[in-house]
Amino acid sequence: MILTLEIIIWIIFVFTLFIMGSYLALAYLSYKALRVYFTKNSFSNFNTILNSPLAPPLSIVSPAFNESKTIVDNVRTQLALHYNEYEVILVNDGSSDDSLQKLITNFHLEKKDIKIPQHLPTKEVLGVYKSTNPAYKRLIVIDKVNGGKADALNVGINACTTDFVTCIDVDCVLEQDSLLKMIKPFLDRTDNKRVIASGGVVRIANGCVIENGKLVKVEVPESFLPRVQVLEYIRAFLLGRMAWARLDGLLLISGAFGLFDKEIVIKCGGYTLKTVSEDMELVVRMRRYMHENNKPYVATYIPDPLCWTEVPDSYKILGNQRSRWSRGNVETLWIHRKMFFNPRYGRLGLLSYPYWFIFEFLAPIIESVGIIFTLILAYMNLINWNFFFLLLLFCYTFAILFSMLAIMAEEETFHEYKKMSDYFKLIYSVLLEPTFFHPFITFSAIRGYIGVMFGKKSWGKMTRKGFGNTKQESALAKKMAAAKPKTA
Amino acid sequence: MSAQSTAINIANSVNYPFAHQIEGIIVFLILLFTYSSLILFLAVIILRIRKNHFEKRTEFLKNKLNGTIMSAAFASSDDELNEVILQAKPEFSKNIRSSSEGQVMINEVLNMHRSLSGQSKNNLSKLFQETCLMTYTMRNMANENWHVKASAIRDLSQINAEMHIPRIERYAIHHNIYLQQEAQIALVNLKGYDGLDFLNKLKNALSDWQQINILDVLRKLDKDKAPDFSQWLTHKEDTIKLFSIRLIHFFQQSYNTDKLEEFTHSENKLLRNEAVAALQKMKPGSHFTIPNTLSA
Repeated sequence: MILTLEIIIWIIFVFTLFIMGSYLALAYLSYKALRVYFTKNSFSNFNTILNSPLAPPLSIVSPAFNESKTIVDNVRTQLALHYNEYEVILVNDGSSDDSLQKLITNFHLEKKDIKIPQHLPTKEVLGVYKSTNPAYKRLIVIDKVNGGKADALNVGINACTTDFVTCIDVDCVLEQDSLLKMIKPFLDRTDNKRVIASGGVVRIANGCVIENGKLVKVEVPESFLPRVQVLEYIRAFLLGRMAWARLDGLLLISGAFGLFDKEIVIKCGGYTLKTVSEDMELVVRMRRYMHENNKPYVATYIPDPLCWTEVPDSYKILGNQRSRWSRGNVETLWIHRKMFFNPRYGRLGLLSYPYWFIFEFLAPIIESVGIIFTLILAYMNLINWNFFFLLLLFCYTFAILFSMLAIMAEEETFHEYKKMSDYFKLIYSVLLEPTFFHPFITFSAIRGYIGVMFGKKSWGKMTRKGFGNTKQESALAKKMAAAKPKTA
Repeated sequence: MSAQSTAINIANSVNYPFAHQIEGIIVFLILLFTYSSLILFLAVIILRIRKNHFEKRTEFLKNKLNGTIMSAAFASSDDELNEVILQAKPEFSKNIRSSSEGQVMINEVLNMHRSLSGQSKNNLSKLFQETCLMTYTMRNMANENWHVKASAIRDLSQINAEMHIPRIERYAIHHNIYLQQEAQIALVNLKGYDGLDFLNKLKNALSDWQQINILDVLRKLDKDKAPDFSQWLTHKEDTIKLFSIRLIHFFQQSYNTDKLEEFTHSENKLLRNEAVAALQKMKPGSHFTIPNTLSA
């Protein structure tokens, strides 16, 4: 009996050590990648792109569903980005509110007889609108039958007239130079590798001051949940994806902000409707397509904070979001199961996919099994409590260390949270996160897995409170505060 | 209380022999993680203090030396300028304590240099070259780190230090692509169209990013003095041919349209599309069209 228990304990312990080791290895690689990025880009004058006739035109595609309260401000923000030649394609995904009417009124739109090519199959397009005011000549609004976010993005991709397409969430706040920075990796190659996608860091806007769609002041959120997510995002983006990009194993570019090679997106079939994690699935499919066609390629990643988004500040909404994310993970992993330890896909098949499967998909399951197992042992009086607390402390101190590494990376690079009080607030969250937040996230992931087993497909309700700030509430925030739940 | 301690004692009496063997390692790792976290906590605080100190020091330096820079820029005669430079030499040497502070002042002079023109621009060049700012730049130029060297090349280029062209030229085809790019931009900036000679020796690809940067310098030059860019249409490297087509297009060298037409049948899609796009603009009404690659 004791021997069996010990074998189980050892399996879990070795798994834990592997996770810890992989996190430290990724942190190390990220540090190196950040250093290289900063050294190389310290010479880059991005404004050169702004004025150049050689800069490639690009398209911004943003899907919108019942965003009436904020849509006008958000489109204005997108029209004011720094880039010389781009088009903004807003896809109204069958909103039941007055989104379309507001766009028509505010941007002097009129319906045009424009035929959208059907590179990707989509639901019916009801109308294409362009402005009669030359000031808004970049704007194209497409009204379509509701088909979900992926379908709306596909309509936008069909409609865009440029070679590069950036897909963004309409409610995100972009830095004004974000397009300049995102396009650079596509221009920078001197080898024969084609850049198929470029991802940007998404940061948390809760607590920040936003005026007229522009971020004017960065602060750590006051409430606990968004603050812990600040830590979580820094860890994921600065210490995770940066390393995966360096390893050429990046599997996920956030749906909130990514720039893609349109030709490859279309050739591999665009966004799929089969998963709620269409952003991750698209990147995996694009990479898979390039491997299967023996085309040299690279997917890059920019560590600059280019996109700011609001995160949930209630357990209910956060739980739904994380449950959806974990469902999306499972669905994507299942769709591309062929790649698992398949040498044909290089690092993608031998490293990225297995890592995602073992440490992202299995981790919540193993953690939950561990907790249940501990409770059973405790009930049976088979726990050596000294050793139990030692192991608990071991995991806790590691979690603290890893978060501190993330904070250090942020401090050394972008130093967004300038006030000392912000630093101490983050430290406070670092200490509390493993006790409250992490178990909740694990529980939500398990809920997501159960959802997959029962065939759950919906996105669930995602309520956004708006970019409010106790000191100064922006016009956008006031409008966003009244926004209806978004479902797609 | 005694019942509780009895329960714990019973639990602790559960013996996992394998677990006991690693207790020491786990305690060691806990201590390692804890101390490392503490060190990182303190390191962030120290980093913040140092950043604040550097920002204050930078501000102080700018305020202190800005007057001298302004006096030099707007000196009305050579004598006045020489006098200012004579005073600036010990002042700069005394106040600039490190290479990072030196770089701050170099950037300050260069920023002003960019925003001025005519005699004031020349005055600042002279101030730069005759004070310790040039010493710092040359020290950076000799540095083994490529990014420090590249930064020095950029500084020399911006201050129009033409006497250093031979030193810069050797990096124009350097194996380090970033150093190479900086040297190429500097050469075009310092030598004008003649600076493009490096294209003849270049064996690696010229990225779109680099083409954008070079064109950004070229477009400030007199268009009438532009050379015949078709000379690089026969280059072995396709990206240089591409750049050549783009230059012909941008500078509207319509006498080269016949040569561009040859590229409309090129196997290289980029060259073909670029040539067609150029011909469509330079030869309005021509029948050239870019094939739709998506439906092809």
